Amino acid sequence: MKELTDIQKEAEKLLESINDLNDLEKVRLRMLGRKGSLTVFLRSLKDVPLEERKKVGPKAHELKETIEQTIRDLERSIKEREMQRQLERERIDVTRPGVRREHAGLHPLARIERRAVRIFERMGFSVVEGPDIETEHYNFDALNIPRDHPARDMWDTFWLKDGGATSEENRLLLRTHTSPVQVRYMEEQTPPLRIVVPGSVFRYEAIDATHNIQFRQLEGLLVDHAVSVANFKAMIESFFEEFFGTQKKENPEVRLRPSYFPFVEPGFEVDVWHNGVWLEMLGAGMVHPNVYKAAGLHPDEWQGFAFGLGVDRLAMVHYGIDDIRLLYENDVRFLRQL
Amino acid sequence: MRFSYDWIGEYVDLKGISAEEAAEKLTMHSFEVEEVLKEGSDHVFHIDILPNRIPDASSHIGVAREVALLYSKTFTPPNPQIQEDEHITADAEASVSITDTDRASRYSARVLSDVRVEESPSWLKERLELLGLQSVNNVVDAANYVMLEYGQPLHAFDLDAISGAVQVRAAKKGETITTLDGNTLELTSDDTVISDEKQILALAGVKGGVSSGVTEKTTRVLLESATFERVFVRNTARRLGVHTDASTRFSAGLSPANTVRALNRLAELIIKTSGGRVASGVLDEYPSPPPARAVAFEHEEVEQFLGTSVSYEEVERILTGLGCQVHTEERKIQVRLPEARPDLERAEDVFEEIGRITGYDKIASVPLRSELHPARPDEHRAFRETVEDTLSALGFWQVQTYNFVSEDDKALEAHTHDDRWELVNPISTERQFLRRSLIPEFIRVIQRNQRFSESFGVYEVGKVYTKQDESPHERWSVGIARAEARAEGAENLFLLFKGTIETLCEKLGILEIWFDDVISKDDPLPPGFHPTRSAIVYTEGNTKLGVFGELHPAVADEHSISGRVHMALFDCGALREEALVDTLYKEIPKYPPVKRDIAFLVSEETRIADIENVLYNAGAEHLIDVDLFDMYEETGEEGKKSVAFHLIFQSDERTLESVDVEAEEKRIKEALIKKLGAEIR
Repeated sequence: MKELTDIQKEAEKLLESINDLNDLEKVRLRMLGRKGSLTVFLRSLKDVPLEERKKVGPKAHELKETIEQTIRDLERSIKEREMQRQLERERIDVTRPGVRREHAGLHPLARIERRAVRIFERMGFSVVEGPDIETEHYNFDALNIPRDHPARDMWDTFWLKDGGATSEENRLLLRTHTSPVQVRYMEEQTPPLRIVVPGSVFRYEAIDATHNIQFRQLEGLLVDHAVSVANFKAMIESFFEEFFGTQKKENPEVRLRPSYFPFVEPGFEVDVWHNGVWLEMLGAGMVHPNVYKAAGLHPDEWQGFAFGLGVDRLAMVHYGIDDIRLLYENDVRFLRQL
Repeated sequence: MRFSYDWIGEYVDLKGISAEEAAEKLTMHSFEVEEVLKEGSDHVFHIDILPNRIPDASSHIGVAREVALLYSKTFTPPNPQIQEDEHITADAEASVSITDTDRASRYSARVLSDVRVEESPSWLKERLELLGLQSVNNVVDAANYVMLEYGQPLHAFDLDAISGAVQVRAAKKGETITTLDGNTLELTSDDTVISDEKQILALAGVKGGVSSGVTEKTTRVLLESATFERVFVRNTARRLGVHTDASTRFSAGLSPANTVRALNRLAELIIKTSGGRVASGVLDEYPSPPPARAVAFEHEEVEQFLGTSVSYEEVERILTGLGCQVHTEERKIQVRLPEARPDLERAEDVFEEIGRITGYDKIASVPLRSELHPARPDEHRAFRETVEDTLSALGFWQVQTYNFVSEDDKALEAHTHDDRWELVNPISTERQFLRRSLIPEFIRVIQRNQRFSESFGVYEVGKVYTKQDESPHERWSVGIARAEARAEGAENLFLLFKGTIETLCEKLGILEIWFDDVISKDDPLPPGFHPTRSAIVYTEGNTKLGVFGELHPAVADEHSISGRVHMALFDCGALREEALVDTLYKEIPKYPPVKRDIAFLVSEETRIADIENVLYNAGAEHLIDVDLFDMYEETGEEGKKSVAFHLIFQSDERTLESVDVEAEEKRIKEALIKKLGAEIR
């Protein structure tokens, strides 16, 4: 029978020349496997007299532990070495170009419209929409713009042929502004109310860098018991602060100057201070009593303001686009930029 | 409208106020001065006088009054001095009447004799030319001058060319007039004329006739200062396409209050520049002077409305400066509104005047105090945003196209054409109809972009319009298109596009859609779709959602589109109705699935949908999914193709054993052989 010391020497010799995990496993089997040297030795201890067993037994077990520990350590260091080799082999040149998946996005008009609508939603404005094909009544008469009034010349209208459902007194047209929805909404809902109305509007215009036959507007209407021009100013200032992301400066950010729209009284143009200049951004005013009447409301009970913002114009200001036609050309190179 | 800065300065002291300053002040308080141009020693203002202020401010006096009020200076309008000749009386020389009183609310006239008509003095010519008017002779020029001064259009007739009584009346159909510029206009009863017993002298409110015009031969003049009804003047001007300084002013609705003042000023000016005598008396037809108008309000209302306080003294100063009469009675401010301001009707109009003169910059912002209610979202809009965001994420660019199309586009929209909306007044034939489909514009977008991009995808969620029972129908449509310039891999491109649609529907919660290429005559494919590479998309419950497929090669050819284009059109409303808003949690399977593969040959025409049908209906109760992973046609056998599927079996109750699965596999194989004549490999 082998002596324990021989077994130890055997183990030491074998463990010196380990190259990889395969070798290690072979050694483990040789020494500690079912027929391994040490295993056999430990099994043979049952035939050894007790005195000797007491002496050799513990040493044998100690050797077993030592061999096991050494095997574990070797396993770990071999694995580490092999890992290092693998990592180095797997080196990639990170400066190689990535393979891209095209991300695409919203049209700038949609993005601007959403942004503006969200700001108003945060101020408690509900979003309402209305039809593109409108009646003369809602587009003009109900907004205090009677037929044959020169104010009608302020909006060049596209008229529709053969609208059998309407009469000569109430012809069909493409809406020239989103204001008709003010009346439509007030017919259905009693104030207090706050709404914004996004939508496409249509004007008979020669198309050039700043004019188009179709563009997007965002109408706003707020009606309550006691509403003043000062309230309008505060609200529109809040909007532009949010939209352009500026802090309130010493100079007023918005200024109101007199203008005229038949459905408001007084009427204003609102200019916004942006990038060092005053920009005309929207028309607004206090809702005209005749508009309340057209909606079936009592003008003495309510006060409110209305405004109309050109989304195309806002987009042009925001992105620095100088030609409105670009927004309708849909050149993907243009869309990608924004 | 153009105004001379120096001329304004004749009615208000502008010392120390530069033209630019005055322009800025007017813009902030009255009307927008679009441009200030230096002309010699003077400045010309280009002011956008809006329709509500044309009656009172389309004149140098009107603008001067504003300036005076804004700078708290004295306003000194002209004070015409006439020396009437008692030997001639106006009513002996001429007679005027308003026959149709709906056409004119006032007609004032004077008679001048011994007038010397010649070239105007240079100061008069210069002033007119500065403001864009041509000099004619000293009488006509004087009339234009006073129009620019007072805002009241005036006309001078050669009295010797007039026979008998002059009247304002509706024209008769077929009557004509040859105007001062030589054009002959044909009139209808909607037009209004000044006529005598023999002929038509002028087109009222628009232009004078050549036969009664003032020339160097004229010695006796009839001066007209009238108020013609705005509706008639506007319609006449528009119908005949003749727009003049006079018609612009009358169309806005002038007040009759100014006629005599302006008339006297004209007489004074003519005497000064052409000599002559003024017949005594003014001929003034003024059948129904409008009643005085007044409003009353409490002082507090001003602050309530504007949100800033204005002292009573300031309110009085402002309103008085505008021509109102102000006094207090029973705690209320009573305001008599000036005749010259027909745009002022109610208290709000007066508050506007107070507000703008005070200056809107004086109004500090005050946030509204009110109840807070959460804004109600528009659900349809929220749905459209989900569609937009999903398509953007799938690599498609959102486009914004025009809602108008041309006559030719109808071939691409639909098969019938009696449901289109046509414009009465399109700007061009390209934009003559409202679109019924997004396809025509998409084709243009693709055509344009193909010059620069090889591969791109676009979408739009936009409205389409049809006529149904003579009524307008607007619907939101979702259009998607993908263009690839390279020609190969067409089938793969088709499948990729189909995958996009499936993903979109899945994202919207529309599961289990199916594709029908058996197109019926009642519901054909829209034009432009490749007939053997397109399908109608249905839900499980057979609701039609839309259509998708490849662009018809003939259409691609016609529009010079290269490569392959795939398109889809969906009705947004249908998508929305079928979409699931929220799903409920379903327990994740507890037991592992068992996977088996099966490969077999079938005839080339056998469709995948049919094979899947057979697989699911073969009586394999634990078959939960099949997945086509291989298909090829070069099988070596004529008319056959090879397909291979993963079959996935799973139970809710236990882990399946091989023996369970084998039995079901057998049933599947039998079904394939029996129903499809498959050769299992």
